[in-house]
Amino acid sequence: MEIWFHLANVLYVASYLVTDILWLRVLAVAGGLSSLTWTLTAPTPSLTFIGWTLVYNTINMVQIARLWHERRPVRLDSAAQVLYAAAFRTLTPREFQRLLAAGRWDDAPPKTILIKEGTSPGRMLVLVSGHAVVKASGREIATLGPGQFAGEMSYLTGAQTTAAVETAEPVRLVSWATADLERLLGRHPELRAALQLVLGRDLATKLGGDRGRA
Amino acid sequence: MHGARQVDGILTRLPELERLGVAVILVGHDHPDALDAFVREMGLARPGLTVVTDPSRAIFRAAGLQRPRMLGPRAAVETLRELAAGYRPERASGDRRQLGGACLVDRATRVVYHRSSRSPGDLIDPADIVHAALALLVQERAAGRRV
Repeated sequence: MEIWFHLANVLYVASYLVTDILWLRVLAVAGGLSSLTWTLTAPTPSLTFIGWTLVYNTINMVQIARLWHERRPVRLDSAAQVLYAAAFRTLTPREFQRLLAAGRWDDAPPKTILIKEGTSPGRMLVLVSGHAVVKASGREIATLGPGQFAGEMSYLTGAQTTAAVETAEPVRLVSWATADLERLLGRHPELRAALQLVLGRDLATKLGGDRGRA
Repeated sequence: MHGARQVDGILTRLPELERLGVAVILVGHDHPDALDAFVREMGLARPGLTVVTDPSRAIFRAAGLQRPRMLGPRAAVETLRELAAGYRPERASGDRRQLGGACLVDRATRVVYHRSSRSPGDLIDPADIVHAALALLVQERAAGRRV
């Protein structure tokens, strides 16, 4: 059935003409299936040809699934939506979802020490709801609200904390182990750049506008 | 072409670096005429950016940047990668074997970040410089409230 052979080649030509990698792979798979049909309907099907076509098509189908998964629209639940609006608007929803997947959601009652003074917390956190106070030597020096980070200064400098963070009311938060975060950001440089922008803005708010030359 | 790609990377983070109070100085080693052409082509005549050249490469030596005896096959692979990314070969008048790097210096002229390239295409990740600048900002401004 020569028609299958011609159809396969038309599909291959079409795949070479498109620039979108997903469509290129879809058309290539369709071409491969058409080729398979052609060889299976031939009087003496070539097993070598069938084998290699199956290899190509399997690789393409795995990549199609991966691309399709990456392109699906991102739907955030209401808590994540609130956090996104409060702190992460410079990230794309996909980047934000990736970041959230590496973090841990927690609820903390009032008077919980989230970060101890004089330690390497090994975690960075952001408040989703509620307030926390920053205390240095027992003295309250700042208040943190939804969308604000804690532990990010130690994360950036690698130094020990010089203040503690304690919840002032029931708090919902997301935290990341710094090692997990580093691994994630190492795999996704674009996310690293976007998170730096977020942290830079948070620091600018906390440290005030009086910034000299570094 | 590696220089152009490196500069493009820095330019994307330039506003952020500026906000963090970092003055960016790009140092080349081409002849001044070649540098002028590079500045025009890359659109580097802009606020917040200083471009200088040091054909003697004294700055490069002082910064401990490498200059290998020969560029190996890795350099060829990196060149192909740059071509694939849309960069074309430059007619550089400087020393082709001189590798690049980056330093971040604080107000007390202490080097707080230093990175030396190991091959022509081993570019400095601008995110590393931003990270170092953020850390420096915290160290300089957050005394007593670092959490």
